[in-house]
Amino acid sequence: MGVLTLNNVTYKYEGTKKYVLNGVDASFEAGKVYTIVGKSGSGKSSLLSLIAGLDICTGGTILHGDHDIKNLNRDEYRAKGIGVVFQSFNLLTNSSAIENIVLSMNISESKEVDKKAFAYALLEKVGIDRETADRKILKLSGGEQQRVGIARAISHNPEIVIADEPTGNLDSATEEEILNIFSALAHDEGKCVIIVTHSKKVTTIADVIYGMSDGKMAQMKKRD
Amino acid sequence: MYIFQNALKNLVRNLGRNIMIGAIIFAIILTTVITLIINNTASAVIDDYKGRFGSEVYIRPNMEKVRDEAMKNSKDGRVMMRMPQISSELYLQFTNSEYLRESILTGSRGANNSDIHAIDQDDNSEANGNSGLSASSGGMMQAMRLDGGNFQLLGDSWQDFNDGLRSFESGTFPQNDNECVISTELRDANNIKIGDHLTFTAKVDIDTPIDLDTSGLSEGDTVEVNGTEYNVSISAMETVRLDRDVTYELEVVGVYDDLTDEYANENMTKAAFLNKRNEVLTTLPTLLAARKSDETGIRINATYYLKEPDMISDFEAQARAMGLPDTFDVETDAASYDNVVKPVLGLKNISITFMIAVMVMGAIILLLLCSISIRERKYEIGVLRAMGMKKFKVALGLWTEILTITCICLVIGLGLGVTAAQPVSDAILKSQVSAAQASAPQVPGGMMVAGKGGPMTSMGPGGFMSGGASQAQPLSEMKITLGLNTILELILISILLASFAGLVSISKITKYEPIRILMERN
Ligand SMILES: Nc1ncnc2c1ncn2[C@@H]1O[C@H](COP(=O)(O)OP(=O)(O)OP(=O)(O)O)[C@@H](O)[C@H]1O
Ligand SMILES: [Mg+2]
Repeated sequence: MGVLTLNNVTYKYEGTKKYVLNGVDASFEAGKVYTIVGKSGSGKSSLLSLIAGLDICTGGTILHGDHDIKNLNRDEYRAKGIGVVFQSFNLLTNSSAIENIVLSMNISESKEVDKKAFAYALLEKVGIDRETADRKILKLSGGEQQRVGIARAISHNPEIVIADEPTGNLDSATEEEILNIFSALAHDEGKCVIIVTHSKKVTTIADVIYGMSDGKMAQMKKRD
Repeated sequence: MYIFQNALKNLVRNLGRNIMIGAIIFAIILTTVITLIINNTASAVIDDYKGRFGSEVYIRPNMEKVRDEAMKNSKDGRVMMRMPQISSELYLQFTNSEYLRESILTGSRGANNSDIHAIDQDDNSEANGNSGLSASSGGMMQAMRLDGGNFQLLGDSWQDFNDGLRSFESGTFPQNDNECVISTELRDANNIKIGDHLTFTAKVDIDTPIDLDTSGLSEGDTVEVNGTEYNVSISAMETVRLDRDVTYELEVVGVYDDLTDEYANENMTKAAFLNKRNEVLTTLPTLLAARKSDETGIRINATYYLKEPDMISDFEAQARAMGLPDTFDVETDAASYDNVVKPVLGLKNISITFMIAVMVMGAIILLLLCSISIRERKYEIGVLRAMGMKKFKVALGLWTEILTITCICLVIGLGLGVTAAQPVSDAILKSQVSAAQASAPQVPGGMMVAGKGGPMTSMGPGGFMSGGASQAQPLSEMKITLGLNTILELILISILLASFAGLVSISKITKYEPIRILMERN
């Protein structure tokens, strides 16, 4: 029984005719890293937003455990069940990195006693020092913002972590560090990690690789 | 909890925008503060006025109607105006009206006493004359003596004692009918002692019945009307008058010291009947007992107080039904009302108009500002929603922000408004007062009666000589106060304002799913 199960998921954007997703089947389990690769515009981000509970699929079902997320309280699901690293970060640009993390923890009703200390430590772990953490998001580089986004996604210790091109703005040394974090999340902490990527390097930590084209998704052979 | 913290932080994070919103809210609150303060104070002034003046009823002849009537009845081109009279019986009947809170009735009549000598009594002139006319200099005619006599018998007229102008030298107020109180001067002049009985004579009249043939009557005849015998007297104008003598036998029970002036003004002709020392104070029932209900001759001075000022028309209808002639007007002190209330009312209206204008304009600007700022904030809201923040919490945060801005504005606005309200109100009131004075006609102090071809006479009908004089001074100053009610009203208005502004934002949030908001930006 997977953490997430997709059954014949179809999706088209409101006001368009073309189906971006055209019958996607997949199953994601805890303790594994999944990567999804595919051409630009093949529907990867669209799929992630459905998994993230930001939108509802047009057809088919997405099961979280054995609950259709259509019927879940999706605010709750987003707040506690899943952590999302957005392709375009989606941070509060007028707030500092630390405020972003603490706010997210608050929304998720994190039980952490000293949320601020926890957030600083977490940011440290993804390579953001205290001085940078206190700066407004607007004044951070793309790579720094990406790392804050990753920290936010895992700050409330969700069961599922999904990331859209999480290393797109990072140099290879940092990319390596981040990939280690994702790998540890799955393999040590038993999370289900799903990463959309173009990067070959990311696929090296993957347990399962899916390929997307024309709105369909298929498991690919892992080439080591 | 974190929602409120975050909301407060947001205020600082978007300082520029919030200052702009704050400025608008501030302007609205400031004008509202000033308006409400002025308004409430004005209402208090008007209520106070109505409580003090608005309930006093005046019943007085409408001279225009009297003149019209006289012209109509004129046969030979000469206009003979007679001051209309209300019978004492009618005055008494009015007191039964359920619309009245209180009635104060006093009575007076002239009388003679052949045993004692009045102060300033001039035995050479005809003391019993019917038509003694006294004119004072200054153009102002004084009272015409209709009923003759050197003494004035006053019924229930104790106001001078209340005012401290008269006090008892010895004795007390009458406890029973047919008792009286006299002045020390009158006592000393005639060596009167408490317990003495004084016999006053006076005349009461009856209207000449329409069916009475007066052509054959001459001075000194007697006729019988309703079983009572009356003496006939014929005036210079050849009108027939029917009267009879009545006597009052009064026991002196008290003597008063009098601080009032002997004469109402210095220029008055000295005559016994005008001298206040000759006033003999007794009870109204004593005065009235001597006359039958269809007879006149006792002047009644009645002051009626309505339970509520707006009962005036009900009271008037009732009075008319009881037989009050059309030639009398029933009114409250309209002149005072105009003097006091009109400027305040004007002030109130101006401030309300102003407030509405500012509120409407402010609301429109606020609406625009909020919908612009919400567009700016759409992304922020999208992010919060994507992180799983519930709609109502997002709304609560936004509401907290706008409410905090409002509260800050409220505090500053209250302070500034309280300071500004007084000078603002003074300035507006000033212009209102002068406008009211310009439009208000001069109130006559007495009534002038001009008979065409006849002498000019002025008389106070039934004691209403100066009833119409306006005593209320126009308000030149209104003390502005800030009551608890005003503060509560303000807080309520502010919260509504904040909620209104918040509602705009909140309605937008609920319209968008987070994915849409985020997609729009990406
Ligand atoms: N809001 C939208 N309305 C309509 N069509 C959209 C919308 N967003 C994306 N699409 C279309 O849906 C398809 C899939 O887009 P999606 O963003 O999922 O691709 P992707 O695989 O994530 O691409 P990339 O690798 O460039 O991020 C594209 O053809 C895109 O044009
Ligand atoms: Mg994408």
